[in-house]
Amino acid sequence: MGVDLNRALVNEARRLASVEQLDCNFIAGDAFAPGVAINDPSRTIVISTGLLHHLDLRELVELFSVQARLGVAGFAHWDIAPCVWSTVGAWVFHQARMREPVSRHDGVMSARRAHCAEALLAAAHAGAPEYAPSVIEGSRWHPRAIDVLRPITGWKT
Amino acid sequence: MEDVTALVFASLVVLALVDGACSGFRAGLGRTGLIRHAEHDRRSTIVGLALVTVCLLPASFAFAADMAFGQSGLKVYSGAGAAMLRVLLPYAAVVGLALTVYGLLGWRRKYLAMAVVLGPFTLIRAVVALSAAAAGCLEAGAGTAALVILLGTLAILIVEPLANRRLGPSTG
Repeated sequence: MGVDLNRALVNEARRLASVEQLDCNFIAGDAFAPGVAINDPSRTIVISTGLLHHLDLRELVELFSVQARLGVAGFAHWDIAPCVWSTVGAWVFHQARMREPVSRHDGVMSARRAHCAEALLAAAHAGAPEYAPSVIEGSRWHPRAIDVLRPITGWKT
Repeated sequence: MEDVTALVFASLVVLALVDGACSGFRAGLGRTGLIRHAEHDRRSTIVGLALVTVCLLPASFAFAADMAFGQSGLKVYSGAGAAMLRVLLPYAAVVGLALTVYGLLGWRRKYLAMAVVLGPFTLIRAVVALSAAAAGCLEAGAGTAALVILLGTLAILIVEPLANRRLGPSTG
């Protein structure tokens, strides 16, 4: 089940899934009210990619809190590991590949405003204390082109 | 001497065609949203190849006219082409290696090739093309040969914008 706030994107995802005959569903919903997409919380893992850097610290806590209140089995949220390499890499990648100025700008801003592991873990502990969160990432001074996106994962204890 | 001239010309033509195909491929990337987009990629590559072939026609006609009626001679073109290749070949070798990795190896190495080589080298592509043109013009001196070089370089550089227009509206 895929969820997005934007109904136009959800409709496009449905169309593409239909073209490729994929066995999946999409629904419009809010990450802060994800119950719309969850039937059985104990068998649900909430996954996102590139969402967390759009939230401030207060909203991060709320995001984890919402998932804890639903009682999902776990969560895995992939986002950019902030470091000088990901910022430089984002600049090069978006300058080289993006066609719109706003995309070239926003791609770099996303890398710059991404949360560090400590902030993510603190938010998860505060919002979902009954979950065991972890972030696996390497040294921020070591270039890790393959691990630009890393998850914060959490399992209900 | 004739063998060297043929090799220089063949190398430049091959580089131009490969660059055109890659320009089409780049212009098509990220436009479908499909997971299985190999067919779309193939079509985009062919569009790039067709566009660079058409765009190179003015340079080809100017070259043919110069050969038939002008005074430059093959030796001038051969020297200018060799000067251009001295700039283009190191760039092409690195990009070719990265493209091999991109095409043949797993997604981790593919991503690495994109981040370390193909991204930065796409950024400097126009600078490399213009530097090669400058080297060729300096070698050829003022005259029709310089005009042919400039027309050829212009053709290379306008393929991607044209392919972007041909392959549909921008998707970011």
